[in-house]
Amino acid sequence: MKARINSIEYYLPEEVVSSAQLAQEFPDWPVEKIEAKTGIRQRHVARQDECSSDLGFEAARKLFESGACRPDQIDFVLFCTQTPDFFLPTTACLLQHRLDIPTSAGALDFNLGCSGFVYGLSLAQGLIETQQARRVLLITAETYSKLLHPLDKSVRTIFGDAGAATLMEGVESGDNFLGPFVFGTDGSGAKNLIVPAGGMRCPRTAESAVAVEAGSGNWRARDNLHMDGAKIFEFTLKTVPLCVSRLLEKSGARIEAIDRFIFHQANQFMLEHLRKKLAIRPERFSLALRDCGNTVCASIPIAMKDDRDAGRFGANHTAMLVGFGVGYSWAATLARWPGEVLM
Amino acid sequence: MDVRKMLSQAMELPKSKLTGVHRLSELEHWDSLAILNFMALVDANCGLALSPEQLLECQSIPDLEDLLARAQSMSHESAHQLN
Repeated sequence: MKARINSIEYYLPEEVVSSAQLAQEFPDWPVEKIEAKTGIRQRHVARQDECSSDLGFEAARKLFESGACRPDQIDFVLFCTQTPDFFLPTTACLLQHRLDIPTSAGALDFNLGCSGFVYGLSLAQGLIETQQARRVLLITAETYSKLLHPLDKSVRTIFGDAGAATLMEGVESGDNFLGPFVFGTDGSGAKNLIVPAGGMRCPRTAESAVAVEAGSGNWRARDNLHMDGAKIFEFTLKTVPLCVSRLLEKSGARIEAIDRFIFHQANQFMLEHLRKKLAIRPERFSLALRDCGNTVCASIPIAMKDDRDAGRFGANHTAMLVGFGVGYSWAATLARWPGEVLM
Repeated sequence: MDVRKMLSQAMELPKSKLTGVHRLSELEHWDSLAILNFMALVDANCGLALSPEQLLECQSIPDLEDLLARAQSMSHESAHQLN
């Protein structure tokens, strides 16, 4: 039994924040500067009453409506988010019920950010190829907007909310559609991308909600997302090229044989730097953040779906997927679209 | 490795604007975005991933030149050890 990606759908919340709006709020960053550095024209933002499970639900509903499969054919739900609806219960359990997935299905949440989609593919492959599940619904959904301080332009210009649903299925085949995988973890970088308050280590208090000036005119409280952009960039420079080399070495593939490079859509500045450093031709390298921003664990499936719809990632093409970020955590794999699958 | 050239590119200023400048605090464009640009330029031109802490410790352009020279020498040493 071999696991493969059957189809992907995604959902973006209706409310939009354009770079022009942000430039009005932060006059020292003109719209041209925001768009040139981030590559982002607009970000979608969840309503106050709209949670990660709602975005994941809409994406999964689109997937079922596409005819890819029926809810009663799903026998495992994997849900990746860092902004769950509740501390407990598990969001995947809520989604099992809401999506009419059978009670015989397994369901679990896992907490990862930008590397989450690639980890999810690995978990799904493990479940399928050990015949514990035949069809796995992998939902990656994030609402970082709820964590951002309104006066922190360093993150408000970058992050957007989104949900993606990916159907993984098992097929009898001599071919491999997914893998190998390489993983990496370095918890020493935890402090560089963190929401300090709100968990058990440091619960939210009136004090943790008080914003302070955090440099470069940005404000944030301990309840908000804190990102040290320069430290994250240093981590990326040191980690991603090595991760790519390790994957090429492990797979025995030459970089020229990869049809598509789909990296976590962090921001255009970082992606363009990595593309040039790795000598990847621009026509093979995905940039899919212009209209949705950095959507964390949903960014790779959104780029895959856009590439697929635009004919840039076709039947029997091989894509290199690389996720990297908060943790620090990173993972990479090769994924092939099967020829005959409906997308 | 022309630090002044990379510095001017990082701040998106002509190199002539750096004439006579010694201290980085004299450069109002030496901000968080310029530091990211500088890190990218050093990585692209010299293959070195500098840490932002090291960069922030630099008070002057000669400090930046020393930092790069040290980083390059350490990188050559590690390459030599690997060989």
